[in-house]
Amino acid sequence: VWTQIDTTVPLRRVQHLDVAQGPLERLFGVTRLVLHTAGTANSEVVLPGLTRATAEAYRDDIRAHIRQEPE
Amino acid sequence: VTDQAQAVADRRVHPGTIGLRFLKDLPQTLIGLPALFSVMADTGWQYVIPLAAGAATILAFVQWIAWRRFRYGVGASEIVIESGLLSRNRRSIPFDRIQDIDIERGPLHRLFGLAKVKIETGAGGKAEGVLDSVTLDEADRLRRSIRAGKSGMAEGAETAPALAEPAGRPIFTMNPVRVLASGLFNFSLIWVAGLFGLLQTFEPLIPFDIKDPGRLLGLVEENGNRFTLGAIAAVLLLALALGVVSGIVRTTLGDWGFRLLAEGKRLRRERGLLTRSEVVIPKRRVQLALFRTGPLRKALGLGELLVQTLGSGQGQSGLQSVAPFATGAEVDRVMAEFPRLHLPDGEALTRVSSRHVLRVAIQTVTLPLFVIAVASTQRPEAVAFVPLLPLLLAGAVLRRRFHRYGVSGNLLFVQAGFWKRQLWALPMANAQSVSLSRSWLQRRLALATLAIDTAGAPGFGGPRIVDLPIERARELSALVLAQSSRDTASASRAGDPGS
Repeated sequence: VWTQIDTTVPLRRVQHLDVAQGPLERLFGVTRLVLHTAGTANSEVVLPGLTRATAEAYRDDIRAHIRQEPE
Repeated sequence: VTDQAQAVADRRVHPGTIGLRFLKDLPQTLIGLPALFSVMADTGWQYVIPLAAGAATILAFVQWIAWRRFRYGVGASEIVIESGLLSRNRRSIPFDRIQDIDIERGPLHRLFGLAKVKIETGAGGKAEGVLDSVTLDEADRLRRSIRAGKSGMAEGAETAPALAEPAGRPIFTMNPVRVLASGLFNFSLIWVAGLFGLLQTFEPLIPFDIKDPGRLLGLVEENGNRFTLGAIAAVLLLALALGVVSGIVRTTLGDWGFRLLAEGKRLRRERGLLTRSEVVIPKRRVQLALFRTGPLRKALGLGELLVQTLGSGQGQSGLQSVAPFATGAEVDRVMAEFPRLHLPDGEALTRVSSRHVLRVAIQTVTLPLFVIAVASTQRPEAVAFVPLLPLLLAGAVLRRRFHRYGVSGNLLFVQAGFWKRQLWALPMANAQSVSLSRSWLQRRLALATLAIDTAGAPGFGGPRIVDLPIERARELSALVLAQSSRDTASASRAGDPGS
């Protein structure tokens, strides 16, 4: 509210992804998408309050991006 | 890479480990002393010695079993460690996941000619594989074979010149004089505070009055006022002296015999008086460089150079000092080892927005002013504190003078701090994420703070540019992100930690 923080994670930098749902979140039918990077301060970037379908769509999208990269 | 040769855990750590661990655990067993004494009170002396001997035998036996059950082996592409008394644990660490192989030698290790080998994979937390303890030769052999396997896998064509590896070329060393001088600048009052706290706790046991060191030093009359100028000066002097001494002691223990060696693609750092530690820094894992100095050190042309690798064990950040106390020329020589990094060389760095001063002024002056205003309604003399407020303002102006940033090619420079001057050189491709934050006040002033997270960064205190004009912050953020997401095969490999 007081401080607006805007974090951007390059898709290349995502190490792995979680789609998580706590009991309360399940009650309200929302999910959160967690992006893990190799950083420290922002090693987890959480997108809360997504619907399950959206979260999974995002995840698949990002996953496709990661896979495209030549290792 | 075909991995048919399954690694076999056929080696044990050095038998001396049993003795070493036994000695190490001995102080802990002193807790059993009261029990021993109570037995003694009941039965008399004659049982004590056999009892103690029995306990020692059991302890030694347990260590022996643990030693027998701990086995390791090096295969073609992985190292295998088997451990566990009851539940057996077999851990295999693939070579290409190994980030660092550190060697540490405590006083006991050195006495026995042994070393502790720590294998780090960068997967958060502690070292993933610890071999405590093997002989120095074995530690060296392990490191060589892991390296050989590793480079053979990663670069394929390269024919692992493990044995033909050139001996390290020293690029920075510290002689005893340098270590002591460095200690002078390392004084910290935290230790003094800790010491006083400790003294306070044990005050009843101390024969003199520690709250009055002035009297202790004979500077104050026996019956004088406690808060004389002399007493205060004495306390400050004592604190300063202790701070300096503790700094020297700490630095001597840590940095004694500091040597930084270049070995092909790696740097090797050795240091320590009692506990010698040896850390290997693979050049391509270096994420950024940080140069630290202070007003006095700057005037003498001295400073500390650190590089950040991926976080290594014990939850520490990956910041590793590669030159704790070096002149400009020496820092340049170390920096030359990293072709992708350099410190700003004549490039003008830009100051942050001039509204930074305004924001800091509003934020730091408003509250004290309010407090003074309220207080002066009760006690008019509180107004006397008003002249102190411009000091806060001056601090803000000074801070802005030293808070600068700049872009040069692929590098982003950030400089901050007056007393503790820090200068980051960050290849933008190594940014893991970029955060733009704007407080309520910053939004009113069209300012933003840009923070860049990197792999292995300390939890607090990475490169941050406070109070950029918002448009500039957006521009810079976009620039960093563009570099970070660009796929420039080999150039940005170093910034590619996990793979």
